[in-house]
Amino acid sequence: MGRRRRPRRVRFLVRVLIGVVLSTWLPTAAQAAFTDADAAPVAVGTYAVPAPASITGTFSCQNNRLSMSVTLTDFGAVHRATAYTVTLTAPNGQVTANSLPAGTRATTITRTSTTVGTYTLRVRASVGTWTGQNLERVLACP
Amino acid sequence: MARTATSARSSRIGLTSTSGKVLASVALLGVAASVAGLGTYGSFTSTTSASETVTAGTVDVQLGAAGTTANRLTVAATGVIPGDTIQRAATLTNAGNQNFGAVTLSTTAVGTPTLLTTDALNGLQVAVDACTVPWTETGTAPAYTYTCAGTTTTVLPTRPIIGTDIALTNLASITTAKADNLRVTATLPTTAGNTFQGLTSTVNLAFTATQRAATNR
Repeated sequence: MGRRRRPRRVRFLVRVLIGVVLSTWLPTAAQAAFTDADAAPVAVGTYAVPAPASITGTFSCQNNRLSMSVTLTDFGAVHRATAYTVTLTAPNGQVTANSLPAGTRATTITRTSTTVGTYTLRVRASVGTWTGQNLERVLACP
Repeated sequence: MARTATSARSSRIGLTSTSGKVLASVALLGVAASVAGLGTYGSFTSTTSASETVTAGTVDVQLGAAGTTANRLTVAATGVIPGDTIQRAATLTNAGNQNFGAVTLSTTAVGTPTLLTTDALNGLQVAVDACTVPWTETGTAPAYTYTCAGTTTTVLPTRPIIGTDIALTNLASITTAKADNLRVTATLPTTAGNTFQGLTSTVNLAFTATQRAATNR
């Protein structure tokens, strides 16, 4: 009546398990070293190009309201702007655009249309490759 | 005759029986204890002792006090546009009593990551250099700039700002009690498009020092 022996497969699996545990633990122990760290946070926020704050000028309609001219005398400067774009969109969707250098905030823009309706004036700033929000005005011929 | 012989065998305790084994073991232990005792009391003895003190070295890396000229890293940069650079000075000191084997930089985004940290190509880039003397700081917060009146060396060439265990080179603070005058420069590439507008990211810069190689002491 000898002791009952575990099946050979169980003993093999136990040995494999022990081997895996040791191979995982031993390198960790071997690589232990004194370390120390110090840290600091760096916060960075990017610019969001705003719309010009205000606009000053006049507009007039010609050719039985099928054309409009807008004369801008000034609009709010945008910090760090490298250029401005003024667009006038006709009732039929066609657009005229004027590009202005950063130091210029006055221009005259004209747009014709095949249909009668409201025109939309937009002014926006650019900062390098970034474009800002539009300052928008809807203009209706009297 | 046969019955008499059987009776005689049953009255003896043999070594093959359990009782016999127990008795034999007890006897053996008794003899061994007696001999051992005799040996203990019968020997000349002499004892000497010596003490050895072993003190572990310390690995201690420290950044300068936050907010001072010794550590401007915590000064936030705002209104950054493509092409902008953000310069911050920091002193890194070996405050332990052992040389370092190496110093690495690990950077992680704090909070919700943005394109500034997730876009390795168009997002923030970082570089670190060192000056043999403290950097000369000009400008007002947060737009600091720095010039070196001594010699400048590259500690970390320009690379994406997020990384783990990035090796730093040319550090004087590898040696105990030495310090480095570092300038950390973050840059937003000119290729960062409109989608980078209005983003905010905080990056934690962790400098980790590891002990020097083991030697005989």
